[in-house]
Amino acid sequence: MPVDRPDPADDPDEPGHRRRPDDPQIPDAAPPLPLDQANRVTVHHANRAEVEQVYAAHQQSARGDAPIVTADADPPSDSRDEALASLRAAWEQHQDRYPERERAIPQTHTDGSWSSGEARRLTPEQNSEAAKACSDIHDEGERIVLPAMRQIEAADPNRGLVGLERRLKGEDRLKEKISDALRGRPGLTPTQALNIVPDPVRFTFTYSPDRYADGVLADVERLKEIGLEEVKLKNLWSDEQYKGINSQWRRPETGLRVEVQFHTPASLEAKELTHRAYERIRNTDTSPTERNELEAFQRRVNAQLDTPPGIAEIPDFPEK
Amino acid sequence: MTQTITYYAIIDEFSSRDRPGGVLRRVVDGSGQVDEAFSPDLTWEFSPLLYAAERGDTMFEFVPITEDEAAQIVARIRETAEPTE
Repeated sequence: MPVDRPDPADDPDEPGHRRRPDDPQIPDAAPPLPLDQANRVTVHHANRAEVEQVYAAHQQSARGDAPIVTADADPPSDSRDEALASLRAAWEQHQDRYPERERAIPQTHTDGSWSSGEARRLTPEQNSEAAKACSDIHDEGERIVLPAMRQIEAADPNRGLVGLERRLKGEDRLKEKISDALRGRPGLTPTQALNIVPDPVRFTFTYSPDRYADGVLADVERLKEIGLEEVKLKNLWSDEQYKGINSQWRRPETGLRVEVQFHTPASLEAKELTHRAYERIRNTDTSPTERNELEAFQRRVNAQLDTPPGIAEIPDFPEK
Repeated sequence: MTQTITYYAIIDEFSSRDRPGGVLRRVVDGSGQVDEAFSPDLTWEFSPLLYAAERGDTMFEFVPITEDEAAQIVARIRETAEPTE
C-alpha cells in the first residue's frame, strides 16, 4: 500500500504517480463530456504526457541533473527558466549557509509510547489509538476514496491527479501532526485531534492556467456528487508563502477527512521548490534568522507565479 | 532592538471565536521570527501550526487578536489546568 515517508514529510507534491497497468479501469462519471470517447482518450493522454514531463523535470532537477522546466499550457519561456534557475541557485546557497541538520527519527519505545525528536511525543495509549486509526484510514482511503477520485479524474481529460503515491499520510507523519496539535491546542483530546487531521488521505489535481478556475469549480461539484461533505476550501492565491487552493472534505459515513489540492503546474512546481524550506521553517531547531530567510525565499518563489484568470470567482468555504 | 508580537486565537471544530481553543504568538525582532503556542504545560513553546496553515493546512483557523484577548485565553487555559480549590 503506497504510503508517504517522513522524508520528505507532508506533501502530496512529489513527482507524479502515473496509473499502473494493473490498476482497475475507471468508470466514466455521469456528466456528458464534450468530446467523443476517442478524442477524450487522445486528449487525456496528451495531458498526462505534459504533466509527466513536468514531473520528470522535477525529478531530474531535484537530483541536480537538469534545470527545472515548465510544461502544460503554461509554456516554458526563457525568462521563466532563468527565474527558476535563479531560485534554485538561491536555495543551494541557502543550504551552503545553513547545512542540513540531522532529522529526528520517529520511534516507538518499549513502553509503547512514541516520539520524534525532543518535542513530539505520544503516550502508549495515544500511540496505540493513532496506529489503529491510521490503519483504518488507509483501508478506507484505498477501498472507498481512491476509486471515487479516479472516477472524478476520468470526467475531464484536460486535467489530472498527480502525486498519487503520496495519497496516504504515513503513520509517523500522522502521529507528528497529532502531537503538534496537542502541544499547541490545550484541551484537545487525542481522539479529537485524530478526527480533525485534514489530510490523512489527500489528492492533488493540476490544471492548465486557462482551465484552472472552471476546472476547480467543476471538480468541487463532482466531489459533492460522490457524497463528500465540504468542510473547508481556502483560496490561497493572494497569499505570499503558498499559492493554490486547498480543500478539506469529510465522508459522512465515517467522518474520514480527505484533502484535495488544486494547482496549476507552476504553482505545484513552486510548492515543490519550497518544500525543504517549509520543512525547515517548521523545525523547532531552525534559528529565527534562518526562518526569516526561508520565508523570504518562499515569498520570492511564489512571487514568480501568474495568477490564473477567474480566481476571484472561487470563494473560500465557509465564506469569510 | 524592536520586538513585535502578534497574537492569534487558535480555533477548530471544538472551539469558537468566542471561546478559542488556544493561543499562538509570532515574535519578530531584529534577529528573525519564531512562533510559540501556549502549551498544556502552561508554557510558551515553539509551534509549527501557523506555518502549516500558511502552507495551506486547514486543521486550525488563526485569527489575529489583541494582547489582552491573548491574556484572557492564557488565563482560561491556566484555570482549566489548575482548578482553584
